[in-house]
Amino acid sequence: MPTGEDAALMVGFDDRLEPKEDVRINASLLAWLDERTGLSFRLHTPHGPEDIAEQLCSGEIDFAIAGTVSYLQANDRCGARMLVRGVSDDGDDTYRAAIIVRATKAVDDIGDLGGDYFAFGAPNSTQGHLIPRLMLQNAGISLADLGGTSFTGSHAATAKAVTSGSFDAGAIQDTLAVELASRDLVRILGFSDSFPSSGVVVGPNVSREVVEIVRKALLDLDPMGSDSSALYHWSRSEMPRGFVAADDADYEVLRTVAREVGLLGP
Amino acid sequence: MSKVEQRLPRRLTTRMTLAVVVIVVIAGLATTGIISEVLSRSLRSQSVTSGQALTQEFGESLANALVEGDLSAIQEIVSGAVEQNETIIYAFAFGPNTPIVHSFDGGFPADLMPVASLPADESGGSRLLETDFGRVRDFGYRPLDGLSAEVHLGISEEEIVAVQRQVTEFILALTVVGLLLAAVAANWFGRVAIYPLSALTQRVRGLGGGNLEQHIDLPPGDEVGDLAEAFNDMANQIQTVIQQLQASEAGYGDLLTASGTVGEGIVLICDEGPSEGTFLYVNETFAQLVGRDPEDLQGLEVGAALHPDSLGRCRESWEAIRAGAMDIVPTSELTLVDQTGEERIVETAGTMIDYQGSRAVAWFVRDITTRKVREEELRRRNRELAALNAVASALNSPVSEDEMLNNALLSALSALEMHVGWILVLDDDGAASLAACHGLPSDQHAFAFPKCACGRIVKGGASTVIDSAGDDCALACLPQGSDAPVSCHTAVAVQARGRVLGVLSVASERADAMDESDMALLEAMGRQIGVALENARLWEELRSKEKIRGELLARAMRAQEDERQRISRELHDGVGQSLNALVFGLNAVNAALTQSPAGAPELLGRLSISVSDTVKELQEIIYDLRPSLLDDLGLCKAVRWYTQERLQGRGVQVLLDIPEVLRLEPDAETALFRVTQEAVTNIAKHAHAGHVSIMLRPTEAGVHMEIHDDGVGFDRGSVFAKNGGQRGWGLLGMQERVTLLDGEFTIASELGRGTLLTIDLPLDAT
Repeated sequence: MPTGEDAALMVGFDDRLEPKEDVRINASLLAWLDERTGLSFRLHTPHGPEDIAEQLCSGEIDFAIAGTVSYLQANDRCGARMLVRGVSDDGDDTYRAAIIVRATKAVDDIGDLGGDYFAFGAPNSTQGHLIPRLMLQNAGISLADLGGTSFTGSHAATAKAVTSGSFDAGAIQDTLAVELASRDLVRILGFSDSFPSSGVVVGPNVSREVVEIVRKALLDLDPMGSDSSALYHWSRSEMPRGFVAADDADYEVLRTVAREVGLLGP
Repeated sequence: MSKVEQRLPRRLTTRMTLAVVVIVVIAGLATTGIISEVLSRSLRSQSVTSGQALTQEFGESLANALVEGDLSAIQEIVSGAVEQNETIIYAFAFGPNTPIVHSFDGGFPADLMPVASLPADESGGSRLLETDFGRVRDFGYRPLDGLSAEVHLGISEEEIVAVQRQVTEFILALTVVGLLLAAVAANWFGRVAIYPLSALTQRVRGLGGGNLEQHIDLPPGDEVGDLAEAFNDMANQIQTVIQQLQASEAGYGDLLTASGTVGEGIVLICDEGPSEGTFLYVNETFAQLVGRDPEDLQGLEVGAALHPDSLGRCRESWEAIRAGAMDIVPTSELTLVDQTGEERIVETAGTMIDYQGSRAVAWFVRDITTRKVREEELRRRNRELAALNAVASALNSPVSEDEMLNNALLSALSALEMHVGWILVLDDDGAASLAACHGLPSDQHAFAFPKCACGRIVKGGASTVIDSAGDDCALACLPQGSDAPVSCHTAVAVQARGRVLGVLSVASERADAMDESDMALLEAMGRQIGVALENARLWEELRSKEKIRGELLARAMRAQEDERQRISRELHDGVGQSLNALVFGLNAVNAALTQSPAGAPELLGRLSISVSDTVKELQEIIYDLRPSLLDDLGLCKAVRWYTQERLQGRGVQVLLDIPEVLRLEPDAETALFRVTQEAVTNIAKHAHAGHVSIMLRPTEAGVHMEIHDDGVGFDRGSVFAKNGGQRGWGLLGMQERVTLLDGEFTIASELGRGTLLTIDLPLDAT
């Protein structure tokens, strides 16, 4: 069991917001875990081209606060497991993606996006890439039907690309889409089905005992109550109401889609 | 004067200028220091605040790049920060995946990181560093919690120091300018302010030179004006006081003269130098007291005017005056003697004064000779009253006559401060007996009074003082040979209502023991004792009469009872038996009328004689009780009948000289008849007289009655002995009857020469 600085458990994370905001949010969770579990956690910042799945499988990091795609990739490669998954603002442990267009664009259906320029978020983003690919597929639109596509790197960048007119449409997380639509900045063409949300993934090299300690601590997290003061801007995370237990079987649909769109190995 | 005071300039203007300069310098330096410090703190605080804000903003701009390890972006931001702000001397940053990116041209100083690096528990802070670029404040900030990333900005504080220096120099310059202005202003103001004082000083010097008429004319309303006005008031007050002193001095002269006029003697006596104890000044009144001229007394010793007995008290008074300094010393009584030797008692008081530059005693003298004489007279009278009061108390005490006189004698001796005295009393025959005595041998009294030298004088009611006791004096019995033989003998009469009842004698070993006032006092005591003695005797006489009267009353009651027994006996033996016999006679008549009627007239005739005898007996009894003649025919007929009944049957010739028609009040007639009845009874029983005359005459006051017989007479002493004789009660009864009617009853009788009774009844009794 690691107890000292040298035996600190490394934790990686997916990019979601600004780097410094991601660091501060996740660093506050690790500080809380330090105090709660008596273990030592250290935030791992990316300093190379490796993705989260690679870092988990190589042992560079022990845990990752990651989205579905990163989990599926790590699970696919080295059997990393989804330890807990997040609960959204409305108490749901799933999330959706939305496809938006400019507010002035005369399109009412996803199927009418043929020929338009479409912006995705990060390539490994569940709501910004994986689920929108499933939505386009269900609407009969393939990447070839579109006028062009691009990865903006984040939901915020995608929203900015759409509202600025750089792209005709884009895919972002449903909560951000609802907020932008309420301000008449975009129009929502459709929401996806609900899929298991992001969570904490544990690598294959972490002992069962540590896994259980961390799982229990994360399930006890109460970000809306007693633990709110210890967390930084936690409402901006993908698990504003904490965590629930996760099961690999919950991700079978998305695993299939990911495999189909080439995010997983053959 | 302190050393500081000595070093200060003397001129007030210079002092004021110096004070203002000192105040301005101190205030300027203090202001400079305070403002510089406050400004420095404010600038530093502001610099720190702005530096922290700038550093935080700098860190936020670098945070993403530090997370991503974007060195080019970091270098661009660090360099831009230094270029855009000339106060920023340096900037550097490092992150978890980046080395130190800095703005130093010659490489990162090796010694900077140890002093600038933030402690592990701080998210930000600042350090003041002394560097080659001057004073620099290093601001550090951790933009990424949980990661080892820091950003630092080095901001120069030289600008703050420069600003602080500029402000200090500016304030010091202002202080110097203000100092010059204040010095000039203080000097000018001092001259303006001191000007009235200078003027006032000149005027006050004039006042000090005696020029009280000179006034200081300065405008009022300020302090100096008020001071000038106060000086003017003071000059006026001094002028007024001088005038009052002059008037007072003149008044004192008048007072001395006036004091002499009203009888107050005033003397000033030298109290120092060779003339000490001599008169410096004497007023006319004092000179008259000692019978000299004032000029003759000046220069004389004070003792020349004093009685030798007063010299001691005069010295004590003088010492008291000296000890009391200027206070008035309480009065002292001294005796002055004039040239003829006549003494005057004076009351003095004194105090110390300065007289013509010398210390002197002012002596106030008042003649109290007359007052002292009156006081002495009053004391004498009080003593006499006290003595008389003591004697009166002794005389009024409820004791026997002898004890009363003894107490009175002791009181008199005590009042006269003598210890030898006696009281002699005279009886009706003029024989003297010793009633009280003190200071004489108890068993060696040899009184020749009233045949002694003093007795011959005192028995006539006069008083006498005999310087030497003769052989016939009671004092001769005193033991001789003592140091001071008792030889002065004073005797006064003990008298009441002009009648000498005795003598009060006192004696002393001092020939001058009795002065005129003592004689008067002793005579008053003699009269007081005489009155008390007479009262005592009258009281004794009254008590004796009361006793006799009581016994008479008892005797009258016994006589009344005896008379009742006699009447009862006579009625039983006489009238009763006659009536019984009459009853038996009547029964016999009754029987005779039935049995032998012829003998009834004879029986009735004897019964008639028996009834007549019974009636006669009753009349005799009634006459014995009270003759009806007295009520029916008056005193003359009653007396005539009684004397015939009692005396003429015994062969005594009775001569009655009583007016036939004279009628008196019933009480008077009864009293005179009973007196006559008792006298006739006595004559019949005891006098063996041959002739008796009874005379009654009306007088202007009432009636006068005499009953005279030529019988054997009697001795009054034996009849009126104190224990009472059988024969005396009749005489006392007669006297009592007359006395009850305010009349006088006298008895004159001598053995062998018969007896004369005299009765006088006042008019209101008739």
